[in-house]
Amino acid sequence: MQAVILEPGPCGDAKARRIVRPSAAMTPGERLEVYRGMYGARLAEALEADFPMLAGLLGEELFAEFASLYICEHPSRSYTLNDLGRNVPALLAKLDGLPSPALSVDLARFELTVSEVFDEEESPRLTTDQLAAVDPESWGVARLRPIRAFRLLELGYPVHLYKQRPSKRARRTWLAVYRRDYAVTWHSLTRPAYGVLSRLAEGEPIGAVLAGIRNRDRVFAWFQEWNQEGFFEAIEVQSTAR
Amino acid sequence: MANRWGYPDLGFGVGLRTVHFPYILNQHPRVDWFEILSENYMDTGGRPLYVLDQVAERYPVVLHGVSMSVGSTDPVNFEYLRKLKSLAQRINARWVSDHLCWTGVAGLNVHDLLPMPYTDESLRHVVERIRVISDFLERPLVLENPSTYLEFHVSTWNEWDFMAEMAGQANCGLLLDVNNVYVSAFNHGWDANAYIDRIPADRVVQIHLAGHTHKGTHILDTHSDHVVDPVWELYRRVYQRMGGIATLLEWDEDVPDFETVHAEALKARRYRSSGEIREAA
Repeated sequence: MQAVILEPGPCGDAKARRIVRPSAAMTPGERLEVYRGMYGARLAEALEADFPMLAGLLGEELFAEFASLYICEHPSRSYTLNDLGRNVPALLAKLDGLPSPALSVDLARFELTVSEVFDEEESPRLTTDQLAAVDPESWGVARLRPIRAFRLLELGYPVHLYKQRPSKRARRTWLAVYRRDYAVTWHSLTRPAYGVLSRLAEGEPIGAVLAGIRNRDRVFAWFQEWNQEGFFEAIEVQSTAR
Repeated sequence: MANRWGYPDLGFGVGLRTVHFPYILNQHPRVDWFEILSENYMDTGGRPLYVLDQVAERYPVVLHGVSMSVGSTDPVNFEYLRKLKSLAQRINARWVSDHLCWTGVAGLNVHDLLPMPYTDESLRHVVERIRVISDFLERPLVLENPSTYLEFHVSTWNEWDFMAEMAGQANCGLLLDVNNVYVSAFNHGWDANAYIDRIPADRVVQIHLAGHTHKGTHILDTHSDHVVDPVWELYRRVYQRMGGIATLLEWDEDVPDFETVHAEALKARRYRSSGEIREAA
C-alpha cells in the first residue's frame, strides 16, 4: 500500500484489486487513490507553509511540480514534518531551467533558516552582570556562546526584504537570523561585521578575533548592539592549558 | 459510567490551534480543557511550547498524537516515545492518545493515518506493541478509531470487534471518534449504531467530534466544518449507553474564531441533557 501511495501517477486498478475491497460507489483503485492524493497534497502543503516566498516566486504550477519532485527525491523519514524541507535549497541548486535560480536558492535558504530558528530551544541571555564579572585580564581568551536560536547567512539577494518588496535584483547581503521574545527576526550586517560575528559565533577567543583589527571602537559598538539584540547566551573563560 | 482507570469526564474541550493562541492567552476563555497535537510541541523550544506551558497552567491538557504508528512493522520509535513522555510530564497531561493505524514502513513516513488489515496476526502484533508502548510511557495508551477510506480483502475482523478485543488484550483505553465512526460507516457500508453498541464502555476515556467533507462517493474526515446532525445523534447514543465522557471538538481546516469553535463544542451539552442514560452494556 505504501509503495502505491509513494509512486507518482495514479494507481492501476488491477494492482489495487488484489488487496483492496471495492465499496458500493468506488473501485479498489479509486479507494487507494484517496490516500495517494492526500499524501501528495499534504506534503506539498507542508512545503508551501515553510517556503511561502519561494512558492510565490515560482508560481503555483511550478511550485507544485517542484514539490512533487522533491517528495519523490526526499520522502519523509521522520515522524515530524519539521524536517521535511531541509534539502529544498540543495535540490533547487541542482535543477536546470528554473527562473531566477540563484534567487530561488537564497529564498529557500532564508526560509529554511527561519524555520530552524523558530523551533530552536530557548536560551538565557548574556547579562551585563556576567560581562562585568569577567576579569579584564581574561578578555583575550574569553569566548562568546550564541543563543541556540541564532544563525548567520551570507546571501546574494536581500531576501529578508522580498516579502515587502519582491525584487529580483542581486545584492550581497549578510544577515543574523535570531529569535527574540519567541518571535523570529533578523538583523542586517555589513560584510566586516558579519566576518567578526561569524568568528565570535564559532567560538574563537575574543582576543584572536580582535587581533589585527584597527578600529576596535567600531567592533565594541557592534558588540553592544548585538548583545542588546540578545545574540549571546554566555561568555566562557576557560584555561586552554593542558 | 466511569472508565476502568478513573480518568475523569473533563467536560467539553477543544483542540488547541495556533490561530487561537493570542485569543486564549489574552482572554483566558472559560473552556473545560484542551487537547494538543503532540507532535506540534515535541520538537520545538520556541513559541508553541511557551504558549503551551501557559495553557497547561490554567487548563487540563490531553496529548493526542498522529505519529506513533502503532500498527507499523517498523521497530517502535523509542526516541519519539521519550520525547512524548517528557512532554506529557512537563504539562501534566491527563492522558496520552494516538490512533489505531500505521504511518509508514521501511523507515518512510507518509504522514497519514493508514488503515490496518484486521486479522488475528495484526491483532497480536498491535497488542504487543501497545503493551511495550504503555510500559514505556508508564500509563495506559488510549487509541482512537481512525477514519478509513478502504478495507482489505484479508481482514477477518470488523473494526469495532477488533478494537474491543485489542483494548481488552492490551489493557488500553479507547478514544471513540464519533465522526470517524460515521465516516467509516458511510465509506464501507457499516452500521454505525452497531459499532457504537459494541465498543466496551468501560474502556472509553474520551470522545471526538468533528465536521467532515462529503464527496458523494465517500466522506473525508477533514475537520473543516460543523458537526452534522447524524453525528450528533450518534453522540447522543454514546451518551445514553456510556454516560458522560470527556468530549472534544476538532476543527483543523478553515478554522473559524475561537468562540465559534467553542460554541460548537458546547452543543454537545444539549445532546447530553436531552439524552436519557441507559444502563451501560
